[in-house]
Amino acid sequence: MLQQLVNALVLGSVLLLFSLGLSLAWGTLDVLNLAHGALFIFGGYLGFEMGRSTDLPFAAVLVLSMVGAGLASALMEVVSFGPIRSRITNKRQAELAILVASLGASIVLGRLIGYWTDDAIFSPSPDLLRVERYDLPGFALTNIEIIITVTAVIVAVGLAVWVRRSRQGRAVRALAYSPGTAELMGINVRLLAVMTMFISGALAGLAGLLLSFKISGEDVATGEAYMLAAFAVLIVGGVGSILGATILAYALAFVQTAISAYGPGGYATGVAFALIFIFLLFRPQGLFARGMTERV
Amino acid sequence: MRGLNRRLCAAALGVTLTVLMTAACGGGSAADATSGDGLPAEIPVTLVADLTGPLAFYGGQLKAGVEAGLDRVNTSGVLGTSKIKLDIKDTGSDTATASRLVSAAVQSNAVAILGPSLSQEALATAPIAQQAKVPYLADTAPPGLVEIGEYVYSMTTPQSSQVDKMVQEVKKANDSVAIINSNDSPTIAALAEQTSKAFTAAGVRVTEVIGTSQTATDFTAVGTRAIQSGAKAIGILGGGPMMPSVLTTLRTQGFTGEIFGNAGSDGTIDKAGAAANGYRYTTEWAADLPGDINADFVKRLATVSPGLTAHYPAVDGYTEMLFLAESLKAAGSADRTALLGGMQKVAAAGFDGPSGRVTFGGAGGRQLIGPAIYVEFRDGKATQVTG
Repeated sequence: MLQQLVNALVLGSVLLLFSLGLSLAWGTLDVLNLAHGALFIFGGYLGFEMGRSTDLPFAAVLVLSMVGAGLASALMEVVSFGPIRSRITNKRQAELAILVASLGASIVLGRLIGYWTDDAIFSPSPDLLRVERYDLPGFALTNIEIIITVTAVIVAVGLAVWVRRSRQGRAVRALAYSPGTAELMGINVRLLAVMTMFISGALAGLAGLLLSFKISGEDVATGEAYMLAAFAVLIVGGVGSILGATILAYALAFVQTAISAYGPGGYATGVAFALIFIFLLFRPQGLFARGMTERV
Repeated sequence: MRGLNRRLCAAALGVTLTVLMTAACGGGSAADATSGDGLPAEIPVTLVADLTGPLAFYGGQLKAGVEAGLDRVNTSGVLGTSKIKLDIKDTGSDTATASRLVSAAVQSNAVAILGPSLSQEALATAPIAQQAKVPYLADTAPPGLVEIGEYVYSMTTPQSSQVDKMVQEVKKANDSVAIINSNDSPTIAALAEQTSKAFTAAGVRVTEVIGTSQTATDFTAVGTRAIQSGAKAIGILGGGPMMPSVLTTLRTQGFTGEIFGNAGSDGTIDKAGAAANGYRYTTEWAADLPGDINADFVKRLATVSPGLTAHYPAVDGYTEMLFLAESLKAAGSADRTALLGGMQKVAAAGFDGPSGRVTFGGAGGRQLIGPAIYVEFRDGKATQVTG
């Protein structure tokens, strides 16, 4: 029982790490980035590639994987999402166009990773980080599981503080509230959008790299399963709400783990999503969505 | 409304004519491939494989094996002075593209089609070859494939035929097992049920059969469940990234008993690194199997695809080429109908492949059944478990 609770805690942390980046882009820029799963795998792929071709330490590989995925995400903003936003004045049409563009970006990046890896499963070099197990009373967990859990908490708290307290965070909130007003106030909206997408991508890369050590095998399709879970986390938690995402990530993980541990394991995702569907019938705006002013 | 009906009738007539012409052209071009009695100097064969896209691993292995077999056939003189000329087409792991390529192949002068590895692609394209009466060798064995017709052969050993070997080997050191299987694949779900029944029948207690999704985001919970069931050995039935993930989960959670799996482990389990040492699975081939043909396969594969580690689709590809060459020799003609006769003769008699004696069963005796091999993975290599 205790082991399964620990399993759920770690799974929730992975879902949270994955969802935070998506939430940031969606909540501030209205970019529902369907390429987030591909960026997640890109982070894992960069770690795999650096692990086998360089002697860089784990911390350096972690940072470079985040930077790589962040740059790829920023590139999407510069090349595609930004120009669409500036050319299509109708907000709804622009969102739809960006959605389609992000789908295209997802396919392109996915195919590139597939090409680089021969569409085979890849896993990071064990020399990069030795996964070790610690036996504690009633449960066991590994060093990578500890790293994932602690990182998820630090990132969630750090992101919340950054958005609420820092100058750039306040600018991001202004951008989410009204891009036009933010521009009139002297905020460089284009630069801020690129920076936001960079952070969003870097968080995806961070999650992808850490997960690759936990599961020992990723392929291009791995990110898709996480995208589905992240949608549930963000929609039910309330788009743009870090607190909502945090609560839902852990709630979804506990439900999925309980079904896998004590019920029909193959239907864990299906049952979890059925519960979400029922929840949305009663509160379609999500748990913590209380209006535009609090979207970030 | 009448106009619409007329247009619909015209469209239906057009489709019917196209299908009839496709079948007619296919049959005609087969005759063109021959030069009367005996084999022509060049025997065209089309390989339709998943060379790019998500299934590129399987397609690449299949192509390498086919090319190794082609090298053997064309240099050994088994077909006299005749040589097989291979035309390779890439499906991009897409069923619609595969259908288009097979439709084009039946209209070409290809005497046979070596089909793709994905079950859905084979089930979609085999009827096209059957309708055009073109011999079709698939590298997959989904239920219902060989039932499509007499021209359709399955050239990979079905995993269901390897269950008894798995049970026999696991039973030697274990009196209880738990099974983790991906139940979003009907083939694997059926395999799990068959395996569970076979263990029970052999007197091995099955503590849990735990279904999971091959695309699940986490396997930790099912791993804990299997361990806590108290089983001495744990089986993993599935394929893809699930295999190394479940294995790693079991080992990092401290399970020290035997972990075994199905042929889906081949080419995936090495990603678990050191955790894969000692992992055992059933498959249809191991590099250390005895025999001249296996040695020839290993040598030729290294020549045509340097650096490639062979897995079962490569063995299938090599075996397909041996079967095709033996069938052409038995037919004494590159006519498609005559080749079918040759295939039936060779299938009925069986022949030797890299893994040993190959026989055929299933509907019309068109399902290849090779020997079941139990291997242990250690330090990057799978070697046969003996004794």
